[in-house]
Parts: sequence; structure tokens; C-alpha cells
Amino acid sequence: MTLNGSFRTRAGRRGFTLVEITLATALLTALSVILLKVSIQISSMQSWAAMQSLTDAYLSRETALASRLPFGDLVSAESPWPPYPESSETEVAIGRYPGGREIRVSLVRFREPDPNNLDLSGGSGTLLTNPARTEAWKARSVISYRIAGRDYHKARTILRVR
Amino acid sequence: MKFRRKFRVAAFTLIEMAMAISISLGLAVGLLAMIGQQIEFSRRIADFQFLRDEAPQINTLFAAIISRADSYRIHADLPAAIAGEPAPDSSGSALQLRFLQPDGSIRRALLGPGPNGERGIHYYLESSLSGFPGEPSWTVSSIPSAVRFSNLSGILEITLQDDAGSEITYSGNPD
Repeated sequence: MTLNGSFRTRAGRRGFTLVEITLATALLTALSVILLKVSIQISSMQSWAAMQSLTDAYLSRETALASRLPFGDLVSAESPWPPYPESSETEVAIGRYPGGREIRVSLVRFREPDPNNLDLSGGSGTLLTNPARTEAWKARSVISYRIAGRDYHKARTILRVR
Repeated sequence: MKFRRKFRVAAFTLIEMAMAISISLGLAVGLLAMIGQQIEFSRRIADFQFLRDEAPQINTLFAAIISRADSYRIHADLPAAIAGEPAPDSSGSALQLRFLQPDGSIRRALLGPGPNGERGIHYYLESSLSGFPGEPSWTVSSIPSAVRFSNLSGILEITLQDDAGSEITYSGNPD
């Protein structure tokens, strides 16, 4: 009777210890998974915020270039902003992440005429609607990039008139 | 005999103890690894501070400052910019901004490092009475470890780097 009781007690304790170990391991695994998910989410938000800074800064370059370019160069055959539906697509470096990793994005440029431009300037205006023969173009720069599996596009439009 | 039997019932076997210790050690190693990972992760978050927190504000400030200027000159360093050396450079660590005043005079301001070459990018506004101040009028950001102004493509470009290896370039034109 005593031996049987002792055996049960020991077996019960072993069983309970096994349950404790399993619970502890499960708890630790769950905690690890939660921390990993939080880490990935925070890392993704970091990349997103940093990318906004880099892309905004790079687009300030596009705005400055399109504003500074002589109008004749903007509408020439070799223009960096070809007339839509043509476009120029290049891959450009916009900066570096911590650790020195270079960040590259796709840059697409094209220009669109104002609808009131005269026929020669890509519009449908006439001397009645546009007696001053003004010529206006919208130079558009679009950059495309991907963060955590999502595609993003950011654009700037610069209006040039002569 | 009774005492021995009772003692045997209350104690753990060597195998049980070994298992318990090894599992405890395994759990401890796992926890330490997780703590180490969190510390590394915190460091990485800190490395992003410049691009995440400072860079957007700098972008806004530069856009406001540069668009209000009427012209600019790039100088090799701060003393050259303060002296207003006549031959500007195409790239350098100091920028002189010139603002046309209502009476036709020019008021100058400088962007560059600290007065003794300290890190960061600082703003110095010229006084009509005492010239440029010895200390910055205000600080744009104290994080960048390297600042370079250049005009190699027809527009003003300002490149900032920090200790973590981040690099960002702003551009603009005076209006």
C-alpha cells in the first residue's frame, strides 16, 4: 500500500513537472513569436519613415532641376522629360541607410502639354483661346519603390510657362 | 528502513535533476538570446533616428531658407565664408546665403559647421552692426557628422551624413 502510494506520488510529480516544462517552453515560444512580430513591424515602420525622408529629399532635386532647366531644353528632342506618352525610366540612388547600404529607386520622367497650348506645342488651343501664344508644360517625375512587399509611387509636377 | 524509504520517495533521481538543470539552462540561454536580440534591435532603431526624426524637419527648414534667399555662394569652410572670399567653390562645407533687403542692401547668412568645426549644421545670421556672430544663431541639426554643399548639376545640393552611415541629399534653388 505504501509502495503503491509512493509510486503514484512520484509518477504524479513527474507528470506535473512535464506539464510545467511544456507550459514554460510554450510560453517562451509564444513570447518569442510576439517579440519577433513586433520587431518586424517596428523595422518595417522604420524603413517606411526613413524612405519618406529619402524620397522627399530626392524629389526636391527633381523639382529644382525641372525649375532650373532652360525652357528650350525642356521642350527639345533631348529633353530629360520627353513628351507623354513617351517617358524616360532610370534607376537612381537616393541616399544611404544606416550601415551605408545604398537605396535605389526607379525614376520615370515625362511632360504633358497644357490643353490650351497651340497645336504646335501639343495642345488644342487656338489664337482665339490663346492669343498670347503661351506655352505651358507640366514636367512630371515619378519614383517607385517597394517596402515590405508593398509598392509605393511618389510624384512631383512642375509647371513651366513661356 | 522507513527513513530510507521516505527519503527515497521525497528526493529526485540524478536523471531527473540533470534533465531539470539542462532544461533550465536551455530556457536561460533562450532568454539571453532574446534579450541580446532586443538590445541589437534597439541599437538599429537608434541608428535610424536621423533619417526618421531629423531629416523631414531639415527638409522643411532648407526649403524655407533656400527659397527665401536671392543667391548663394559655396565656400570651402566656415572662415572662408565669413570672410566672404571672392572666389566661391563648386563644393565645400559652408554656404553663404544672400537676402536682398527692402532698402536694396544685402543681408548675409551662413550655413555650416560649428565655430570650431563641431558636428552638425548651424545657421549664422549677419548683424548689420557686428557682422557674423561667434556662436550660431540657431542649429538646424546637431546630428550630421559631415555636411557638403555642392553645385555640380546647376542646382544647390546639400548632402548630410551621420555616424551610422546614413546619407541624404537635399536640393533647391533660390527664388
